[in-house]
Amino acid sequence: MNRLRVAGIIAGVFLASVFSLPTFADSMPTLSIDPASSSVSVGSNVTLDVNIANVTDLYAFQFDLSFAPGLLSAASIVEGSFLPGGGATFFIPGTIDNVGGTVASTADTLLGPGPGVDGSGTLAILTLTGLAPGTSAIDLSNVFLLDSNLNPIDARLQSGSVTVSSPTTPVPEPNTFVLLMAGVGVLIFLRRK
Amino acid sequence: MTCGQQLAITSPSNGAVYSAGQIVTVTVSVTSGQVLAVQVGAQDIGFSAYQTTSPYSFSLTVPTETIGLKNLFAVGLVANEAVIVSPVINIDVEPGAAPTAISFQQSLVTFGYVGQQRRIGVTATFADGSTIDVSQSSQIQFSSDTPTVVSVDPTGLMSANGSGTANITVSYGNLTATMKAIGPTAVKGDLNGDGVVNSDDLFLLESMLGSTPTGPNDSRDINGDGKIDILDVQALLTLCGASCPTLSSTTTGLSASTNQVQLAKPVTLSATVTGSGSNTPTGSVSFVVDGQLEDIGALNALNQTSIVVTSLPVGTHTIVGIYTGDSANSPSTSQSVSTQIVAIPGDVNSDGVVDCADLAIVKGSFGKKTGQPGFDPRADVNKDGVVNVLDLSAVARQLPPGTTCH
Repeated sequence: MNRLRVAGIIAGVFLASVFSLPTFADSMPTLSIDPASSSVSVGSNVTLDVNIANVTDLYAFQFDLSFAPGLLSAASIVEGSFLPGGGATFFIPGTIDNVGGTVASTADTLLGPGPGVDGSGTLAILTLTGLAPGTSAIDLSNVFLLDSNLNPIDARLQSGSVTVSSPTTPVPEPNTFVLLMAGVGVLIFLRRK
Repeated sequence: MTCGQQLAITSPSNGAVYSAGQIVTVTVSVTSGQVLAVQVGAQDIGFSAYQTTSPYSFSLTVPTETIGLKNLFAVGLVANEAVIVSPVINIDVEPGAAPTAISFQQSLVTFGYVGQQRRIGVTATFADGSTIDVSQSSQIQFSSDTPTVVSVDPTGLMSANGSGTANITVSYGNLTATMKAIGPTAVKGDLNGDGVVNSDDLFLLESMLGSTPTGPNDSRDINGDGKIDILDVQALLTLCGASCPTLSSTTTGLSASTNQVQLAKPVTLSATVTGSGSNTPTGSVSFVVDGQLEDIGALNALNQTSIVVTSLPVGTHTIVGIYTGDSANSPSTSQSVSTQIVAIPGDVNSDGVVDCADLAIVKGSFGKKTGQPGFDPRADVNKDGVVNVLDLSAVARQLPPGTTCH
């Protein structure tokens, strides 16, 4: 009886821990590249959001981004709408290095003694230009998320990727093709005549 | 912008001689750029009105009683209310007629202590009986026959160098005059040169506490330590003996309103002087911070004084109060007290406020590490060797509500 009771307790603890893990992980803030995968042709731009989800009391942040420098170049990075939702901010776009393939030390902070911002939204918007065909990972690193007490906020990081494709050659539109074929048919008809 | 415009006085020439009542005609040229208006001025003579058109020519009348080399210069008004000034020349104002006699304005000068300096005026007398002070004339020359007792420089400034008598001579052309200068007595502590060391010397020394010795032989520096301070007073009291009044000893107490305060916040320094005798201490207390005189406070009826200091920089400061004594109470120095001035959190430029300028300093070094070009140690608020969002937010958090920075 006692053995059964102990086994039951152990099983209960095990099950509780197993079922609580996903709950904890789901509530953790996530810093991600959105869309997670995107495509762009050579010479065109693609815009990626750096998003935060499920954050509480976010007061300031900083991150680095990296990409394949032969495939992409960074054109700009600007402040997103999430942090300004909490009041005046001071945004530092960071340093774009298209040789090394990084955007380093992008940061933003609220100003003054107020609380941070809760919820989900966009922290920054990155614009990349396709240089050569291939797929580049878009990775986040050196991430700091701070609450209004300037304590760190833990978060999961989700990288993204961008596939750069060759420029597509123009394909004649159906109407044009039909007209062309019709013209060829008329010519053949006249020749037979 | 004021660069690009230049003025020059083209007339009179440097060193031109004038006399009182004469008119100095001054012409000015603009040697570079454009000016809106020009005026001229001369030391002890005055300024002209502004002229707005070239050629610029002015007339200045030399006032009476004016003698010696005088600076002459032109001022140009340029855009944005800025001014430019020409190179300065000298004009020499001398008597219009040759004097018939010259004389010192004193026949005897007595020096109290080695290092004491004095200047005695020289008067010229003319044939019509009129006189004028020619002490600043470029035509007069001074000399001493015994410079080891009293020396004199070309401007007539005499310096006491030792005991004895010296003859000081002034010459103007062929005219000369002589004055006797008596050097300080060899009696140590006899600062007024009357041959004895008494309370007069004591009071004289007390009035000079804190002065800088004129040299290694300054008689006021009785103990020869390079300072004129309370220790010299004590040495003089020993020399004075019964000739000096018996001064009551005093004790100076000093306190600071706080031993730690934020930058730019007031610190009140208070001193109380307690005398051992029946005469209430009077006079003042000098507040000395880190060896430098900060301020002087006069004692009130309760023998207290205080000053308020707001300008001390970040750091720990050592403060003493020095009571300089009076005719019945001896000087005394307080025990030192320390006050620490701490930086305001987020005030990285230490100007006493947290504002966008502080944020800008952090931004200027953002992402930099110690040793890298562009790293400003002030921006590394948390002193972890790198300027990042931890530093940025530490400043941002301290900004007043409603602040916006770009």
